[in-house]
Amino acid sequence: MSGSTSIDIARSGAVLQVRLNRPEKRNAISLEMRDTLLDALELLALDETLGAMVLYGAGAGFCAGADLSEFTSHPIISRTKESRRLRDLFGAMASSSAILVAVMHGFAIGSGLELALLCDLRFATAATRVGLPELTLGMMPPAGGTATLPRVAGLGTAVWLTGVARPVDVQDVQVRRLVNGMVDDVGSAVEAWTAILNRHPAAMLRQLKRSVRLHELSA
Amino acid sequence: MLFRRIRVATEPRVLRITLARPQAGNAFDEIMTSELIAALEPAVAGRVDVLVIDADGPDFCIGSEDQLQLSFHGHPAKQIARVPGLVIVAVAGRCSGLGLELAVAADLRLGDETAHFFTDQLHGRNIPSGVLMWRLPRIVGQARAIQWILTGEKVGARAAIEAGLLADVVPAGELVALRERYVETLLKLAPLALRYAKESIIGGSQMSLERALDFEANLNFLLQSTDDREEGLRAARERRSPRFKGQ
Repeated sequence: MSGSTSIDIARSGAVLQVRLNRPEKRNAISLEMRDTLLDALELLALDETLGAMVLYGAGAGFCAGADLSEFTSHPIISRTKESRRLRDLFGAMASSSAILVAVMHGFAIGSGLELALLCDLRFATAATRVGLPELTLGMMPPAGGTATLPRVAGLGTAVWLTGVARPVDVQDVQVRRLVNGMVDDVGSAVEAWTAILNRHPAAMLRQLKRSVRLHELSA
Repeated sequence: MLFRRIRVATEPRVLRITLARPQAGNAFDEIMTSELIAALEPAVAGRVDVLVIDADGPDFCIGSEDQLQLSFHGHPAKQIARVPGLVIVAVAGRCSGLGLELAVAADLRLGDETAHFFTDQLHGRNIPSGVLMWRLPRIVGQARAIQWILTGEKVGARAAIEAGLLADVVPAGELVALRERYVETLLKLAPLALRYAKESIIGGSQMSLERALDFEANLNFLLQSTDDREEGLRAARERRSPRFKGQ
């Protein structure tokens, strides 16, 4: 695959393993990384021999969010909207016909957590901290969090996590419903889920995804 | 305005309403209903950032008196659901019937360990209103909501926080301090961002996921025109606390 040195993409059978690999920036998502992730989603959409993606991070944690150093003040809003429409990673994840799995460790903050919430299944190692700090920055969650979080964890938890706007332990009672299970370590969880997904042909994985999830998209 | 069944305190950004009919378990009669609807007006109009509702006595609210006809007075839970700011309810003891409807119409439900929730309206005269039927499944999930409404079982504080109905629980006697911590936390956030995030969470949950993602993005683009966003980013770069103005 083209592109970023900050994202590693490997293929194992019907599964695309995608690793955020910019540990010196706590895997903060740059525009270049967003575009590489979008390329991976496009590959999943086009290559029918692929049926799933496992997303994880290198280094101390999953992802610290968007790279704030690339944020501009006083942008031309109509242009921002157009560029979002043209490079809509979050819409591509929400509408993907592949099964998306996130394995989190360390921290999943802001857009990092939102990437995981756009996946179908989420796992985390013990002591992973999750949070949506955007409201302390004069913004709101920008990567689908206000749409995905209430669907995953309910309206009350969605308002709570957005409103406290600080990282919390994923095992805390308020947020443990965000994950489908706890795992011992990232590497073995990625391999275990790759193996589970590879027990089924790609077409079956896609059929499963369509049956259980895609009605939500345009229902 | 002088109220008989509630107490009201107004601060620049916070409206506080206390249900004050503890001898009747804060059950709603016609007077209390019309007083609460009148008192909610500044919050419904968006003139405060935070609305806090709590209650005197051991119970938050046990429901309403049998003869209460809500259609004549409007529905307080429906008014609460229209508030654009953040709504906190602080629940001790029983929270049932109309009390439960007020609670689910709010955004953050805080409780002490005596808090418990139930609706037994199916066994009485009224089917719960649309507020409960719409919100409860979206707060605790469809299966739990149907079970709770059909059985009228009492849901204690522990089960309520595990289900996502309560946002936080403290030992009895610490509810006031907990409530004030949340008010303080919310007042530090960018006020417009808080409103838009709430609008996106609640409004977006009535849409397809695809539309909800677009709705969130559009609200984000609106926020990009605010001074507070610029201040927030500048404060983060300068590693200091932001000073938001709500514009």
